[in-house]
Amino acid sequence: MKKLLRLIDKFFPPQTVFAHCDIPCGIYDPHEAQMAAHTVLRMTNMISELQALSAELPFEERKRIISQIARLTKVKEEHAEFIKHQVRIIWGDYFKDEHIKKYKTLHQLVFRIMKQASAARQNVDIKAANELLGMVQQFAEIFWETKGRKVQKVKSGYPTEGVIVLPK
Amino acid sequence: MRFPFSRFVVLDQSMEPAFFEGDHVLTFNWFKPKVGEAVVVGIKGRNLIKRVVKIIGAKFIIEGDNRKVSSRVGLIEASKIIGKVILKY
Repeated sequence: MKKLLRLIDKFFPPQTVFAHCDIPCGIYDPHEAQMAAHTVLRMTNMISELQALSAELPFEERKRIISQIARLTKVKEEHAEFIKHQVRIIWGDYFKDEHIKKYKTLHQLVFRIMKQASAARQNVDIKAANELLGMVQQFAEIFWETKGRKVQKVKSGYPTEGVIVLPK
Repeated sequence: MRFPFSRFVVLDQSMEPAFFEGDHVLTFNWFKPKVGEAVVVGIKGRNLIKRVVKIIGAKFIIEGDNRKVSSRVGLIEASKIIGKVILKY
């Protein structure tokens, strides 16, 4: 079968297909950054909700809690960094001068997201994680507006509740 | 209606390790995409091979496997999807 297809390709060359779209393909989306911001909030909540059974914990119980905090923190770290990565790409590759002229706070917003994502990594701070989510959603709203799309806030359905910003 | 099968040759590294540069792939074009499937999409006259990572209503988020090279994700309509990869040869 494979040999036959290769033979066909010799006489009738296949179409080319690329994987990397570092060309003006126009495929950008802030959705995953929003999901990551919800994840940061969720991990922060879960760390905050951890409770010890007593002040004098047996070693096994301490191990369990430390292990759980390590796992939650790892995910929180990764997703906060992922937000920065995604926002940087859209900011650096998608937004153009005309957008910056119209949305004068955009540079400042991106700067604040970078700082806030770092703050959410460094601390176990529910308020900071909520603020990060709000900023990322503000970024998503601007993004879709530049594409001429109205946005809607739909219930996320995540344990963090709240909304996600989507184009209509 | 689109022909049920198409042949493509991959021209870069963004879907490694699943698909390497120079791999030939066969797509089946009469299908409903599912999460996790590799698909070929046609956008502005250019064919891209990506993986479906999420389905939101009638739209699909796709991305490349090799995140070092392909970091973008996109929300695309079903009409942009040409077919799913069923064979690498």
